[in-house]
Amino acid sequence: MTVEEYNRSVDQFSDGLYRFILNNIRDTEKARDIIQDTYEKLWRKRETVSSEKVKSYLFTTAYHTMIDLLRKEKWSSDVSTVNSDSYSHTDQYSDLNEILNEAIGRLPEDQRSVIMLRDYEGYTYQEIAEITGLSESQVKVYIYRGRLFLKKYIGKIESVI
Amino acid sequence: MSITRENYESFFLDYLEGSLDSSLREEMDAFLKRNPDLKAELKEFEQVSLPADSVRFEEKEQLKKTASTRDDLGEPHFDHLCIAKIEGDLNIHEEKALDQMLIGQPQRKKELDLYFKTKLQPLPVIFPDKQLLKRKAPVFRLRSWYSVSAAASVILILVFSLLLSRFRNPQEERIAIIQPTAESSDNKVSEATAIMEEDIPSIPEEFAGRMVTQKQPEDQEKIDVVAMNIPETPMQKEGENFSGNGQETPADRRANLERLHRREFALINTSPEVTLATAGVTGRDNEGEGEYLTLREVVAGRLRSTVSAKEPGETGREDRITFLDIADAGVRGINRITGVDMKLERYYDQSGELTSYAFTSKPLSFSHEVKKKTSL
Repeated sequence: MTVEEYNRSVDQFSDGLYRFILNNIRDTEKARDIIQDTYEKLWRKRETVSSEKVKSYLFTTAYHTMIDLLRKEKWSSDVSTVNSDSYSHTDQYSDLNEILNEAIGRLPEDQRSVIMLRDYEGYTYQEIAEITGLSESQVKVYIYRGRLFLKKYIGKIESVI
Repeated sequence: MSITRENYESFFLDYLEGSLDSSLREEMDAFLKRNPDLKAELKEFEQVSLPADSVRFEEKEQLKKTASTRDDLGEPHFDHLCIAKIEGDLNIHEEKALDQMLIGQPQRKKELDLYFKTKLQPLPVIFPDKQLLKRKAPVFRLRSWYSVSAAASVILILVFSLLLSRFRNPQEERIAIIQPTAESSDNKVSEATAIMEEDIPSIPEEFAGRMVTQKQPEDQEKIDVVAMNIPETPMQKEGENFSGNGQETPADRRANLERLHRREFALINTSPEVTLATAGVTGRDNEGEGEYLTLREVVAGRLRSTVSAKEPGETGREDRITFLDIADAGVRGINRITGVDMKLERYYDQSGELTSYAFTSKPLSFSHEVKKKTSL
């Protein structure tokens, strides 16, 4: 890819990439670092990454960089430990987005990532599988479990409100 | 294979499970008849067998999947259809099944609405460091400039080589003719002597101001060297012949030149324009007012007029070959060799100071303003 295509990818994808990482780790500085690290990797690999594959490359690289960071910080949570009945909520919510944002933060890392890739970026199951390194059936299962959890969380909050 | 008392146990298990073939079964029957004690042991084996499992899974029907009718769809299937609905994965039959499930079921409609609310909406998040991520294209201009400079240097060397080769032509190396004058015999140069260029000593600066000119007929282009009222040197008093006599040896000639160093002399211009031999180097300024140029000025002017096609005095200082002169010569040389059209133009202010220069070609053009030195 040329320098112009690289700079265009910054304009086109850095916002979405930043949103994806920021909503996952909820840390502005770390999210910025991951984005800069991701684009630095893209720059080094620009001879081998075509402009058609650049978005997929960016999200794949950013996702794995984030996973590495989370594992280093032991920040990831176990899927099996999530119990939708066990969470408590004392915050006051003004709208659905806040509730949903809170619920997304409680999802296990894998479920959160696949749902955000699906909703924010509109990736297919196969594309999400390629980005995350999961199988397509695993992606479907994680989306199913994540939606189920979100629906129950929202339902409970709405019933309280 | 024969059944013996050593291997009968494995055959017993197969015998009891009925997995022995007919020939072995007949052989086992014969073996048991021959060994009645083992026949009693076989009956004990039969007694330890477990009765049939009476435990049953009572919810088999809930696990079974049948046609997509409202009565047959369980709750998990409803959630699956709802999620598939918001993901856009439902086919026509599943759409119809879900619609059927929602008829008369407000609670299910509410749940479906909740599922729709789980769809994340992109938030306007802006990455603030975009400009830090962007890269600049490589600066080819600088590299081109270096390439042009290098090419210009090579061409300049070639040009100088050509010029020097012309100067070294023995017939053309003569730059001045020393002729006798009508002055007194003690102080004049008695006969003309051609001085080869490499033998010409540099004129001391203290003599430069004493150089005078004398008009001669225009068809006589030569420089007369006349002695001025200068006291004789001790060497002259010794009666040594200063002028050449046709029998001069190289040692004599060098000695004469050393004397020339010690004498003040004047180069008298015998023509309006003193031509330095046939090389075409004009030794006077272009105004023709009698001011002679130094060798440095002559070379610089020659470079401009020959290589850069600029007249001496047109622009800039005459006694200095600048980097732009060299670059200009290189550009012109490249134009001649390659046939491309490149230009290196200089711009001056009213006082003759260089203000800027510009390079122009088809793929590249740029200009640069020259910083003026401010005097304190």
